[in-house]
Parts: sequence; C-alpha cells; structure tokens
Amino acid sequence: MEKMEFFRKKEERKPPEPEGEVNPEKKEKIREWQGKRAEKLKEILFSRTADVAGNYVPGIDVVKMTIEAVLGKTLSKRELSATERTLFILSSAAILGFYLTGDLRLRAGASAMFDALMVPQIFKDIISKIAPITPGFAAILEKAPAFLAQNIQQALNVFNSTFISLNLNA
Amino acid sequence: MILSVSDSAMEKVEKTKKLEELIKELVSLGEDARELSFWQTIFDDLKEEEQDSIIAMLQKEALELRGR
Repeated sequence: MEKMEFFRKKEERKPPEPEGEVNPEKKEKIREWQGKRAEKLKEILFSRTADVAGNYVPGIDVVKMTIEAVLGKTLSKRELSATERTLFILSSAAILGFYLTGDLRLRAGASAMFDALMVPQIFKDIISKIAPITPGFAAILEKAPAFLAQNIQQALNVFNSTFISLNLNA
Repeated sequence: MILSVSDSAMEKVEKTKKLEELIKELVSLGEDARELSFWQTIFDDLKEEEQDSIIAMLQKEALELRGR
C-alpha cells in the first residue's frame, strides 16, 4: 500500500514548463550553474558525515574518499542533466549511508536498488539506521524518495552506474 | 525574547518565499524544474548559512540569465 502511495505521488507532480525557447548561450550558463549546485549539494550532504566518519566505522574514511572521488569524476561530465547529477549524489549518499550504519550491507542494498519497487524501502532502511548517528544527513535523505519517484527510471540507471563505477574503482 | 523568536520565524518565511519566487523565475528562464524543486524540499533542513548560500547562488543565476 505504501509503495503504491509512493508511485501515485509521481503521477500527481508535474513540474512547470519553461516559457519559450532557451538559446544555446543561456543553456550553457544554466549548465554551469547546475554544476555549481550539484557541488553544493554534495558538499552539504558529505559535510554532515564528517564528524561521524572514522568514529563509528573503522576504514570509513577510505570508503568515503572513494565514493567522493567517483562522484566527483561523474559530476564533471558535461552531458549529465541536473536531475541526473542530483540522482548521482543521492545514490552516492545512500551508499555512504549503508557504510555508516556499520552493517556493510552494500551488496544486498545495491542489488535491491535495481528494483524500482524496492527503492523507497531501501532508503527508508538507511534513514532509520543512520538517523541516530547523523540526523542532519538523514533529514536530507528523507526527502529523497519523492524526488526518486518523479524520476524512477533515471534513478535506477544512475544507481546501476554508480555501483558499477564503485566496483571498478574501489 | 518573544519578539526575537517572531523575527526569526518571519525571516524564515521570507527566505522560503524568496526561494519560491527565484525558482519560479528560473524555471521560466529555462532551468530544470525538477532539480530545483528538490532544493525547495530540503530547504528547511539546511543550516542558515547553507540556505543563504543557495539563495545567493540562485539570485546570481537569475541575474545572469536575465542578461543584466
């Protein structure tokens, strides 16, 4: 029932459309600002884990650096849309969340993330476990499911790609 | 003290309103509505300096896109 509710929200929310044509020069400027915002979101999310990394999970700093490095490389790709950039940050934050919970369920979580119906539940699991450790990080992740629901197919592609990148680079 | 709390609440309302206006304008100028709506969703969970920084970024972008 809860899963159905999650997907119903997707149908109800339709973003407004831009007024008229956007010229290439404007598009370029927009792309630059989208890149800056992506960096900001990454900075905000990852800074919230700074004080817990290392204190709770041995070796987490190495994992965190790997995730940040892969994410940094991904975000610098110019062809990514703003939505995809945001999804990459959220999926990376979810992976970091798995590690920070200390139970190292990354692989189980990764395979479940490829199933659209499992995505909200996976995020819910991460949030409930991460909230006592770092509430500020959990508070932002709590807002992710609605955004994921709006962009579920892109989200699944991004999760897939993030996990593959991490496996190759870890 | 009560006045101070009230001022702070008013400031928060003003910031949220400002953010909404900026997003509306930026979308009309060609920005990605979905990505910006995510910022709107998480805005209350951001620290004050983070909120100010996002509003400043959006203001600068709006200025640039308006061509001023």
